[in-house]
Amino acid sequence: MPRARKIELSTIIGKLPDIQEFDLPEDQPYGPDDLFICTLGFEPRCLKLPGMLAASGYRSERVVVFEYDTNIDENEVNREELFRYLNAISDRVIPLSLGNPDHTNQLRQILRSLNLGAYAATPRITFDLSVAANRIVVTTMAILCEADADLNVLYSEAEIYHPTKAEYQTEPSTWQSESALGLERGVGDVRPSREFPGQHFDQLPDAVILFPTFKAERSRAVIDFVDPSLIGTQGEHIVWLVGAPPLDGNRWRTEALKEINRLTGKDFQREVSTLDYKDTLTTLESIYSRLWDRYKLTISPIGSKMQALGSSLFAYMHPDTRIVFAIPQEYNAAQYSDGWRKTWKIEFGPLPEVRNLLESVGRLEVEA
Amino acid sequence: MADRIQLSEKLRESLLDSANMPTEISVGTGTYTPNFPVAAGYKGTVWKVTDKFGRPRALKLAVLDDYRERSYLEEVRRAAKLEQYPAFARIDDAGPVTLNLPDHPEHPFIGFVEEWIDGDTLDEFLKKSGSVISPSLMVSYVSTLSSALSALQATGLRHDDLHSGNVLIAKPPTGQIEGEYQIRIIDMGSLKPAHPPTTKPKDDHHHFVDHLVEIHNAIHSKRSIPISERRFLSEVEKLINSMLEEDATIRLRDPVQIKHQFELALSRASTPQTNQNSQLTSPFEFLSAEHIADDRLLVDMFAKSCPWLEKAVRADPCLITGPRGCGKSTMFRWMSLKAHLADPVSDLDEINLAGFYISCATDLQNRFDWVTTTELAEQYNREIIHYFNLLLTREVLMTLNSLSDHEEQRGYWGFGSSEERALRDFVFRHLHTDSIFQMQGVSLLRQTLEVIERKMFDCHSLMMSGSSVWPTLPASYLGELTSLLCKAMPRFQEKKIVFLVDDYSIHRLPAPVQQVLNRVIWERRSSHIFKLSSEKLGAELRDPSGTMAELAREMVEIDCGREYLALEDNRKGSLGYSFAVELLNNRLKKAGYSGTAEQLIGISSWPEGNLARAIVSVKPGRRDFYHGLDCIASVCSGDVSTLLLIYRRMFEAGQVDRNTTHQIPKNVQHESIQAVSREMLEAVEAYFPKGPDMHRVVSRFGRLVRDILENGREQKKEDATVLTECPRIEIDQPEGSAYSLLSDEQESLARELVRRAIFIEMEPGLSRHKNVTTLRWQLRRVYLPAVRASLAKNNAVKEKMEWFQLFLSNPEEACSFVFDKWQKRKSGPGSHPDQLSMPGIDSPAQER
Repeated sequence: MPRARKIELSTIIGKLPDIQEFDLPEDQPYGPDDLFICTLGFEPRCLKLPGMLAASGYRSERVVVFEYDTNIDENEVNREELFRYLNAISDRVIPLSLGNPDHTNQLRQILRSLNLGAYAATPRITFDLSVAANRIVVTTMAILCEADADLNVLYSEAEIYHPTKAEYQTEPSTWQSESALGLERGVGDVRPSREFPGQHFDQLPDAVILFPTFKAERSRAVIDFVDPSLIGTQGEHIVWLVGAPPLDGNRWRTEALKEINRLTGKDFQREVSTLDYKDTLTTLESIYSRLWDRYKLTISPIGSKMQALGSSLFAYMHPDTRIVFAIPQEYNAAQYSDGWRKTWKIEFGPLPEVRNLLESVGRLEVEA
Repeated sequence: MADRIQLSEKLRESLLDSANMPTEISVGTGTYTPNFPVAAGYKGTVWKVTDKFGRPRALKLAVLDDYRERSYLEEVRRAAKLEQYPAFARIDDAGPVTLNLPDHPEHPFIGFVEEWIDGDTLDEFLKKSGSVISPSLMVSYVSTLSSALSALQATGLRHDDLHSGNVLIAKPPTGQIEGEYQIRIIDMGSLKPAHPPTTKPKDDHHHFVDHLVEIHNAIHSKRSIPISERRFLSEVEKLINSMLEEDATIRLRDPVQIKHQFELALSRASTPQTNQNSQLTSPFEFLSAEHIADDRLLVDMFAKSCPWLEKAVRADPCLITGPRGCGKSTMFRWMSLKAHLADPVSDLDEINLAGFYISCATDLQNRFDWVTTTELAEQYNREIIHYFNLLLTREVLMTLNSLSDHEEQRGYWGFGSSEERALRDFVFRHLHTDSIFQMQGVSLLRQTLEVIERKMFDCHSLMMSGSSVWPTLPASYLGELTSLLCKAMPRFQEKKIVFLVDDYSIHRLPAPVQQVLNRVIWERRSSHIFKLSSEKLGAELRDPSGTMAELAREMVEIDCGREYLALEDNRKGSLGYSFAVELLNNRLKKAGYSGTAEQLIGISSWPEGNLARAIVSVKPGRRDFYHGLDCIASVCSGDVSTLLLIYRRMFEAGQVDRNTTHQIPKNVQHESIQAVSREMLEAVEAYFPKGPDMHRVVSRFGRLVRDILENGREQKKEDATVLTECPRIEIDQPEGSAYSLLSDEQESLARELVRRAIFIEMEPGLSRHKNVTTLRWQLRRVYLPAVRASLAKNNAVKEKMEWFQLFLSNPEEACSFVFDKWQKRKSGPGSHPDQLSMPGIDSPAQER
């Protein structure tokens, strides 16, 4: 007898591209692209991929470079070199200031202009998110998901992420204390994503899914923003997705995150890969399937960039979910990350196909 | 296996070519003029034709071979049995037809002339009109198809080719008043007896299931759908699987049951999953109004002895201020008509208002949080107002929709089908959607609601893409809507329409957005008023031009914190006590507990006379002075959720269960109160923004209050002396508002302390020494047990502006300054050593 089967994420996840190491062999030139998107930041790896691409002769018709409104002076350190690479890549380098509240529409307009012309081929876009803050990753992915383009995401992993185990164990309070600088200090703003505002019309309690960082105050600020009465509570309405780095040498960070955020066995928590965005996607899906009809769901993807990318694809798949950002007052430019290690690529390819895949989750099929 | 009977490709092409058709075709008793080909299948083609009177008809030309072993007359006779059922297209005529076609001279067919139905097939409709596909359409569809399947069962027939191309969504004829789309089944030329069952892969029932899957997927593909539609889809999935159930004894196959189950699914999906009997599993389930989805439960638990209820329910505009957890949301939701309608025993004559509730903390905030500048707000001002109007209209419609199931209430409110139509017409007229899709058999209100929700999503997505919305609902729209409601349903003249906008705080809705919305809120109308709630200093009551300033002044502010503190000042402490008791007793009752607040907690009593004396004269190891309902009521300076938290902690520590009736030991009560107080104090550090700064201020000032209590000179009161209790700060304001003399940093900290109700700003007082006003701040009482201070107030830290500035910048130094010059008791500290060291409060290492 036939059965109606709902298409689950597990059915389609294999069709989404895996993250894979990225290299530029001489015989396989990368590009050309219609748009290259990157960010001016203070980390050394800000320069890695643009430098690599410029050296390989890669060209893009246009380049969009996001510029932060925090740590402005520190970011300047990389400006000259980054722009030298970007100018080698393209004749049209367009800076977009995150200080402009309407910068998302500026990006949309740029994307629209790529599709001009009746016979234009599908535009090709590369998004280097190596030093993009998670709010940039989420917002840009949301806007890209609307576009009819081919997308590659590139990512340069840092050589050293601070604190190192030795740094942390020598002086844990330096990294835990809210008044100390650590990786970042303070919470400058908490705000819902313009692109993923959720659909929170109805009177339901809130549930928050948090990716904690080394600063507990960021997660707490998000909980406070969503519903102050949830602070300090435990239960299915506060789910902690603790980052699990792929390298064995960094595994201690998972335990440190739990310690800093005071997570106990009573807290609802799961470990989620910091590199494999599909792990984020599947974990969020399993949580969503339990909670969607009883809570207004908020995700705060302040963990790794790949977790943010997974969160944005998830929110695209479930537009009833809201994304909320907690933005630090300042980052510790002197001790955030050092150098670079591997470079990675996610070859999404035609975005309409990615959209169709994500949108198919939840559809019914009648099986014979 | 015999070859399938079907048209050859060439013959099909030939039949679809207008050039091959004669000018007239005779079928049965009539003659028809071919107009154009409509469709082609395996066994025939369909043409639109016109009869001799000019009436449109559908002519199906079927392969003759299919009728070698049966007569077409059988099918016509079968179809005749279905003529009385409106879902089926009528067969007018039938008979052999011979056509001269290229390569097929004198080719015979069987012609069936069927009623012409102007519309789209289901699959075409789902592709073309995706945005209007809704749960109510699906239920309407299920209703029609179930009736059709029931008719087939009753006549012993099966359609035998009920694929989605044979179901038409028929448009209403042009000019028909109240025209609705109808679902019609066509191609009646395949009718067969119900027995034996079909040999085809799918019978009528399974085709029906396919249609439902297609409609489900069409709703799902809209993506922007409210949770009620998501819940409905989830219900549909279960029903579809039930329709496909292998076990025939439990399979959902009876058309009457199918129709009923889908209607129930729509009804269930409209409201959140709630506890069916509106009971609590524990008295402390849902500590915050935001957590209660069940309106009936909310009404049942509401404590009407709330000291500021009377002010709040007056039929005047008001602004209720206070922090989260002070009871604003509960009050507003209780004032909403929807909540009262959810309670079957609610006496509607008791309420003088008809409230419609929305919360800015949810949808509005998420939509407009990015509109942070005046320029952006002005750029999108039409869209912001439009969205706000849609959101409030949605709430009105949702409320009226909840009347649907209650005939008695419909009668009370005078809400019948003509009012429903008037409301629908009004909304559609304003949205310029006269030609909106309306489906047979679905309530007009539900369809209107779906249109509103669709427009909300459209508005947001257009704004996201930087586009303008047209048309938009103007600022005057709500006034017209409420005028209509008052005219159509006179009960609304008796019960003032109130829009209850909860959490209208800058923290939730940026000031530029509020300024735009104020054009709607301040529009003076006799047919409605607005009541707002916000955090203290949270509402932006001006509009950009300042023209609404006079109206803004008309809005009475009810500050929850002040209301509670004023009870003490006005010797009305018993009101706070009654509220604290009722709050708990209502919950105990809903959770089926035997004990009452009075039995389980009891009254407060101290051998020393009062709490302050008890604290100061405490003996080593004694930990029981914070106890009793009077004490708990005093802890509350507007914190309803904190009260509940204290009760919960006491019940847990005292192991109170449903059958407990004995009093929780005083020491357990004491520990619970202090623990909650400490947690509240610690939570300040997590507040955003300025959490750590505020924590520093409140910890240090709390310690000062306790130090003065323990060491300060007693003061005279009538014939006796009393200990000094001064949780208040009074600052002379010789040059107007104290805030204006603060630095930006100090001012933002001061505002945050007030916004979060860490300090409650009382009405300005008059200085004793000069003819100037004083800024009066009182520490929120819930923090006092953490520092082991008493809860009353009989004195204040009276200082100048310079001290206040120091206090905000360096609370440690400012408090030391006050304590150093405070007159001390000659007997010195009367406290036990363990009072002198409060972890987290006294330890300098903990201070930042």
